[in-house]
Amino acid sequence: MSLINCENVTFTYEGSIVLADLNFCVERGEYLCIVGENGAGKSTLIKGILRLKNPSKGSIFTGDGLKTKQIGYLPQQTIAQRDFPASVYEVVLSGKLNSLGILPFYKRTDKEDVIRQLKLLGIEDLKSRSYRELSGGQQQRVLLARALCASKELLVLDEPVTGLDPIMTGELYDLIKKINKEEKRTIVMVSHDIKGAVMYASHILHLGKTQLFFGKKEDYVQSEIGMRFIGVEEDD
Amino acid sequence: MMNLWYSLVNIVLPFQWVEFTFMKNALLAILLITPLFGLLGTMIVNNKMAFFSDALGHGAFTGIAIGALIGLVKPVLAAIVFSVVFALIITVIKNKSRASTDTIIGVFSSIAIAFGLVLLSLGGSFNKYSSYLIGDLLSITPSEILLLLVVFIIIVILWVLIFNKLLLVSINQSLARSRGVKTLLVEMIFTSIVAVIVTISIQWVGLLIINSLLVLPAAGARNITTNVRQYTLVAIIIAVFSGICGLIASYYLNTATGATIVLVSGIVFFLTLAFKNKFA
Repeated sequence: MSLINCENVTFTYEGSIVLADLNFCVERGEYLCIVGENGAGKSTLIKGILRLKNPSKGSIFTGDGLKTKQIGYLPQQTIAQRDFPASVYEVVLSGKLNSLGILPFYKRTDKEDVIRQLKLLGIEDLKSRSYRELSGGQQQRVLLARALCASKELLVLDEPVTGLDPIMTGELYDLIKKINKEEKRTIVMVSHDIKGAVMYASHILHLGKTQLFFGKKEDYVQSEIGMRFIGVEEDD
Repeated sequence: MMNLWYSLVNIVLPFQWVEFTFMKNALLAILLITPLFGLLGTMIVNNKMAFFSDALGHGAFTGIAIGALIGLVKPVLAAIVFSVVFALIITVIKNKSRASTDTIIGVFSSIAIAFGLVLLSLGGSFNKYSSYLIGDLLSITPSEILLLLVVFIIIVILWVLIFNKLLLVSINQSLARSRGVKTLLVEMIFTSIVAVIVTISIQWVGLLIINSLLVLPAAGARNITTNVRQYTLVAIIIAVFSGICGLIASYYLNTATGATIVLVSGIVFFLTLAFKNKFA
């Protein structure tokens, strides 16, 4: 069974349809990039996958034993988050919150997992640094480590490269690809950066208030909408 | 128990300012109130809730007015119930409505304070209640200190239980919800805690300055700390330090204690601002 299966899904806000007729699935080990213009419904779909918003029509199933709480999620950064006096270690540890239950304190195994993820992403030396002092690229790595802490299987990344310069963007994409290949995590990433998406993803879902394309990356670059969208991006 | 405290103070602090019993009571009250203000202030500052906590003070004032109107000698119990309900209503509406948070809080806050003033001035008897505006810490009694102790213990336990969830809610609400945190419930518990401590303290600290006591220590701590543990600890230290220094200063200067404490907190805040770049 697919990890995520979206069947005839429609989302509405206050009676108005914002995203209609989605039909796609994500299999274990895939790297799906969701692209589209601003207001295309990308963030709404992410909320749907995370069960933060229920579809008004259709269903989103999670399969293969995946529980929603076990989805690692990297949200778009908020101002509060950027200016929070928290250490890197504390930020990453907050990713283990779903293992807390009603207990007030984190377990030793949670703390060991945090160190493991920091090592994996090459930021162990930043452990005691204040999160707000870090560069944009370092901050995104920290948030990626936090998402990894929460995830056993699937990572959902919402615009992870926003605000990063081209070098940092490339580094972060490489890291996400490494997590996908070596750590065997399935990736669902929202991005407006179509070039990055095409270079690294295995599948593309193109939204524009509805599903304009879903399929393999190779088919997308040959499709009319793919060529048009990539062309527009390159012109920019 | 109070006798033990009085003997302890006589031994440890053989100073003139603490010779009187009312000063010993006030000192103990400060040691119980200020850490809570420092603690709760950390989340208020992080979540940009200063306006919200100010509104809670207004709600507490209205609660006291209602308590007084229905004939309670000590209207604080009615005030606690009213201000918790008031806090919960604002929290729920803030979460459900798409209107600006500032506007919602502003509307409720203005109505609450106006309602409180109207009720307390009925029949021209407002002077009797004007102490709620500036507070009188030196009037605190041993039974009120006992109430503070009980509240202190309950709040610390609740804080330990919800802290990690509250932290995630304040960092990113949608992330917290995706982790299964009942964000509205956590927010409601937090705002209720703030409402209770603000309401209880308002008679000693005063409506006009109570919010500064919540905001200033945490705002100062935020300037010079790099992680959550430090942030919480330094906020508590600043709050307690300002409380004790303010109490001593108010004794020698013969000034309102609550206001003097706030002034000390203000000075500490500007000092932290000056050191901001060195620490954080």
